[in-house]
Amino acid sequence: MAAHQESAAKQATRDLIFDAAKHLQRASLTYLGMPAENAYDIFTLKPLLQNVICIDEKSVVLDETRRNIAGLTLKTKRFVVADIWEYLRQDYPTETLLADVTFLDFYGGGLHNEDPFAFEINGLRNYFSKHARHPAKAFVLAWTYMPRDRGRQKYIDTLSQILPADEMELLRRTEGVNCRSAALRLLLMQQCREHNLQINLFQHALYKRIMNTMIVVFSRGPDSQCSLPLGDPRRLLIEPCCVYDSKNSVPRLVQLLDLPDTNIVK
Amino acid sequence: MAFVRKQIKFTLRDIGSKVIDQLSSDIYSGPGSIIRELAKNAYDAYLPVDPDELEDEALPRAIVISRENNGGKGRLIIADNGVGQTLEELKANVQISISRKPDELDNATGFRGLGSWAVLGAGSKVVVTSSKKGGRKQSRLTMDVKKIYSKISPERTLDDILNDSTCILFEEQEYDQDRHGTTVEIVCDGPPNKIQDYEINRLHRYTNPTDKQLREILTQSCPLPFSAEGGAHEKIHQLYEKIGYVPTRITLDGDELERRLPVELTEVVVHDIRVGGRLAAKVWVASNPKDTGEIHHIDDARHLLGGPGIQLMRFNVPIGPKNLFSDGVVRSGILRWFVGEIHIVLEDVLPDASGQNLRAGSARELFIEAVQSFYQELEQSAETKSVRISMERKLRKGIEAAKKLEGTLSATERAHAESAIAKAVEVIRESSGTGKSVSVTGKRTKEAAKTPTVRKARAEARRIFHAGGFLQRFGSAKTHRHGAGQKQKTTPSTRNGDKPRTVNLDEFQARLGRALPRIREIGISNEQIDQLLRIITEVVNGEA
Repeated sequence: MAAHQESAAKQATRDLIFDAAKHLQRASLTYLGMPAENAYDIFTLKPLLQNVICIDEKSVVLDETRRNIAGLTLKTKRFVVADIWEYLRQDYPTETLLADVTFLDFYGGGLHNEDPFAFEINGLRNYFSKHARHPAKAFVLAWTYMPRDRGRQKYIDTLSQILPADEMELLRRTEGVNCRSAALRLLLMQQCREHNLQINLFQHALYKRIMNTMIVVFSRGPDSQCSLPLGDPRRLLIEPCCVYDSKNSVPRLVQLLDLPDTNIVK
Repeated sequence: MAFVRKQIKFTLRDIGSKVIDQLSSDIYSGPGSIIRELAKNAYDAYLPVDPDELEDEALPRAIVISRENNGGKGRLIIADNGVGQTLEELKANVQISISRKPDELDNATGFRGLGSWAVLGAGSKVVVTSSKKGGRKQSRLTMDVKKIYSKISPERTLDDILNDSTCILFEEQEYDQDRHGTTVEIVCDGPPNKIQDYEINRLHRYTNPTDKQLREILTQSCPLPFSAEGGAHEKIHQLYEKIGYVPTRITLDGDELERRLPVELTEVVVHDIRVGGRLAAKVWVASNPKDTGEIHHIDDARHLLGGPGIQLMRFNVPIGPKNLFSDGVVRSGILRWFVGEIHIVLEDVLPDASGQNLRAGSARELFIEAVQSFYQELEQSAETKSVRISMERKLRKGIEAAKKLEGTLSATERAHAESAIAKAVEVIRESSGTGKSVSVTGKRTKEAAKTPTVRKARAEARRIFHAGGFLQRFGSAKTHRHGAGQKQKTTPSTRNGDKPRTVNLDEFQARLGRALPRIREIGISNEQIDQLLRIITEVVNGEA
């Protein structure tokens, strides 16, 4: 039952990514992600896609992905056996394609490795750095993660090395399952600062306290084609999260960060 | 003493394993024949599927070919969204010469029942994955080519190979997707190589996306449809309906492969070829109505026509090179004035396994004769067209020249204009005669003169020349519609019946200029000509 619910939520996420991608108002998009064997991401986004870059650590998984999407008329189908962070860190900067839609669909969280600066954060930096070289070209980054992964302290320790003290204070004040979400938002905001990006937080949802999904549209400078309003990355601190729990059929909007006595967003 | 009948039973154990290579490499020798078989199977997979259902399912009616090459390991994948196959149906890919297609499917392109054997040496592994429309299972056939070839020996039988799951493996799994179709994946684990004496990875070079040759192979051997856009293409699509071919897109690495006619080829004519009263083939032929000679407008990369000429086909699958069976039948190169396709519809005229010729048989011989006489008709029409275009060109130039003569022209321009008119008048005269022409050229001229474009140009020229008095000047009484007379030379004449004419200086100079070659022909030197011209000048100027 849980698996089915999660799958329904995942499909809802894919549909939302499709909606966000439509707002880019560009034909022939490139997808980058970990579509797994059944490649649901690609089938959902199919009407908008021209190229796909499929990443997985297991070649047998990619073999099945390859077979499943073989009937789709895509210009480029790239299959790369790699860890996604390793790919973003090492291969993506030299990849000739630029991903318009990236879906980091994790079973875990964000910061896994012993040295996140060598892997996840470096991977993110390289990812945003490549996109920052293409101004006025908005792109979608979707991220699903489990809020209960490695300890809260891992996030705090890691981010304290790159975030200003007032932002770290916000993170320290965030409790429970919201901590990872807050940490990732702060991490993304930091990337926006580093690469001078504008954003639109298209969706951030927490499903039954087990799966978080965040869809953000970024752009370096205004993109006249994109039909979403792109603004200050500090919106990442303000925008609430949409929480779905098992008792209520209607989700609630929850403020992630406790902001009243801070000047950060002013 | 008498023979007593004995029952001897045969099984797969009585067939040597070497037959496997004979079924693949010997029959499907080149990359074109392998890829053609795969494309044909993918095409046939759509035949049982209702096109409306495909549309509802948002599945393209397409044969999707994609390739990859990473560090020497290559893959070529041919996928369709057709009806798909159950595990039992997948088994038919391995069965030998058992094909239900001709009985179950109208207009199926495949009929040999050699299925996956055609592909065997193409890679080191062949994986066929399929899900049947409406089914809830996904089936897979994996042929480990290396294992198969390593096990072939005089001691082993077909039974040893077919029933060895390390060689040929069937698998099945639950499948909850709505998608259906078949994916054939040819995996090349490196460049061409030999296992015992048998070659594997033969398609390795084509797995590289930068390779250009696969596109050419597809052009020459696969049922690429014509674009549906453009007026000239409509006739071809109408013909598709009549031959039972359903346009099915073919894409290579995301690029749609569609044949197109160059815009200059506006004349598309449809013919029937009959054998013994039966319709044997439907034909379309395109040409440039405004030009003669070999068609030069074809860009192979853009039009995917494989150059000018006539292509023999069955269900839109090309057979052999262009202009097959034309050697010694028509003038060399004449068929390159056209581009066209002969679509065989006779059931007993089939391509051979190489796809380069027709299968032997009496039907083949009769069909070839009919095709050859069609080629001869094309040759005749090319020659008539040549005459027609020449006539049109001369008439048009004559009309333009007559209009120019109304203005002020230099002596040379005037001379040229008059020459053009003279030639046009000659055309009017030749094409207006009522007598029967005996010579081939005469017949072509008469035939060409009947075409609407020539008739129209001739009428216009006649009107303009009559008004300008050119018919009288450059022609004979015969050229005039109301006057029939004996043949006369149409070179410009200073005489016009008995009427005296005044010739201005410019005109005189022009005429003299035109006459110079004739003066030279007499054999006098340039100095003598110069002296002669001086004398004439003095005469004209009244100085003599």
